[in-house]
Amino acid sequence: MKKLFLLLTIVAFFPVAMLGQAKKPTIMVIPSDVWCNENGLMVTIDNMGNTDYIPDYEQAVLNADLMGAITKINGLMAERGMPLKDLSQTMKSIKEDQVIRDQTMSNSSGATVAVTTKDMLLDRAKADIIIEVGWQLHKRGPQKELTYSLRALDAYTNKQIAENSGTMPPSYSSTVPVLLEEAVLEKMDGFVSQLLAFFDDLFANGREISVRLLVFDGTGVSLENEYDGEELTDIIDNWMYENTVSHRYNLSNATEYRLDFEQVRIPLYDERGRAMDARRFINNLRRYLKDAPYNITSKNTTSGLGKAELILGEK
Amino acid sequence: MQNSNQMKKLLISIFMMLSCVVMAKAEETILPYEIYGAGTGVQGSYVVEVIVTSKKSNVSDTELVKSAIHGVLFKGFFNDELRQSQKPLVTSSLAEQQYADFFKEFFAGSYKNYGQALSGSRRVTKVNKEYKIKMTVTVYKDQLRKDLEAVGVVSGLNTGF
Repeated sequence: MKKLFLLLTIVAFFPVAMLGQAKKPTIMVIPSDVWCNENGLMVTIDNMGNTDYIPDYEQAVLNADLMGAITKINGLMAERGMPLKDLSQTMKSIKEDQVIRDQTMSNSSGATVAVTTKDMLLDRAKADIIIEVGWQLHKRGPQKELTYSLRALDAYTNKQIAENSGTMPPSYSSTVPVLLEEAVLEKMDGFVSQLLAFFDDLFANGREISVRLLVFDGTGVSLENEYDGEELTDIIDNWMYENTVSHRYNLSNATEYRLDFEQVRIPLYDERGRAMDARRFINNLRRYLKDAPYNITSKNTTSGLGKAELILGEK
Repeated sequence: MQNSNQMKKLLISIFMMLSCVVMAKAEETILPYEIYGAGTGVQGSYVVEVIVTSKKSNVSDTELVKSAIHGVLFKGFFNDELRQSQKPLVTSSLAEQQYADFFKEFFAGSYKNYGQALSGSRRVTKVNKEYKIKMTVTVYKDQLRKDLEAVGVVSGLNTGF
């Protein structure tokens, strides 16, 4: 009887033990655009004749109040077993990487490290979940009132997944750092419970990603090409239907050279029990299209956990 | 005479057994209460004000602490004046029933590790035939949450990753 019980226990827990752990999303706290603008921390860039405003994080991390708030949030999240990427350290690391890469040369030929334009674009502060923090200080006579906002955004689906904001009670004597610390301590639990709900949904319904398919110019591949009377768009659509959790996805754009899928729910683990992410998911489609009768070569240009991109036609 | 002694012993035994049952029952039950925020506590704690309604005025401090912890776990609290609002620590509404055995044991004793009554904050007022006993309680919510996460009653941020 004991042996039977032991056997049943092993059988029951074997699949769980075999599964890998789901990939932990990276999270980083950054100042909100509104806070950067109000504190004169936006840089202007000329984007082909249009003026664009971009937050200057390099300058922002020198603001003591901001760093105090970010440090507090990072500390509280780490205490809960979810350490965050630090903005100031990430900015330093990017700069150091650029310097080291520029100085690295081959011993024999003196060649420098090859860098594509895309590599340069990827050299920026980024994370899978962005937590935006911002505040405003209002003065009412001798009293100070702090309005505080904290929101989490899924960087790949652009959805707001958690939020907690409000105005703290007025104070006569507290300094801004003290008011900020109070606000963070007060608002953090509500914020984290929303994040928890987001993670619960992720485990129940799969990870939500977006998928984009493009075509290399001049390769003869078109999404309207037919195979056994069926267009490539419909073939890919069918593949998505078969490989998404509960067939949940939405084809939002379909043209001759581009397909955009949104709200694509992918399983957390692949058939071998490995943690699944956007790259692994879209690699399965790449292999499927590479085989007969399609024989389409494609390039997986996915970066990050939640945004898959496949360019058809060549590597 | 011997019979009378035996009868006495039996009555004492029954009385003691009944007392134990009544005390155990009192430990398990939560008196009706209201809970409000009472300011921002030090990191890792909530400061709450709990008001227990009872027919007796001598409700113990530990009973008030128990209600405060029950409120933090299952009710959440707010305070308009202090602009405070906290959701319950146990987010699933079914958890209290789902883990009934765990909470029965928890409220029988171990809850005492997670809260402390603020001395001198006890106020008793009589309303009609009942007493309202008010007290400020510090609830060590971080430790409480960690221990509940460890036994799987609530899920943590890194659960599953």
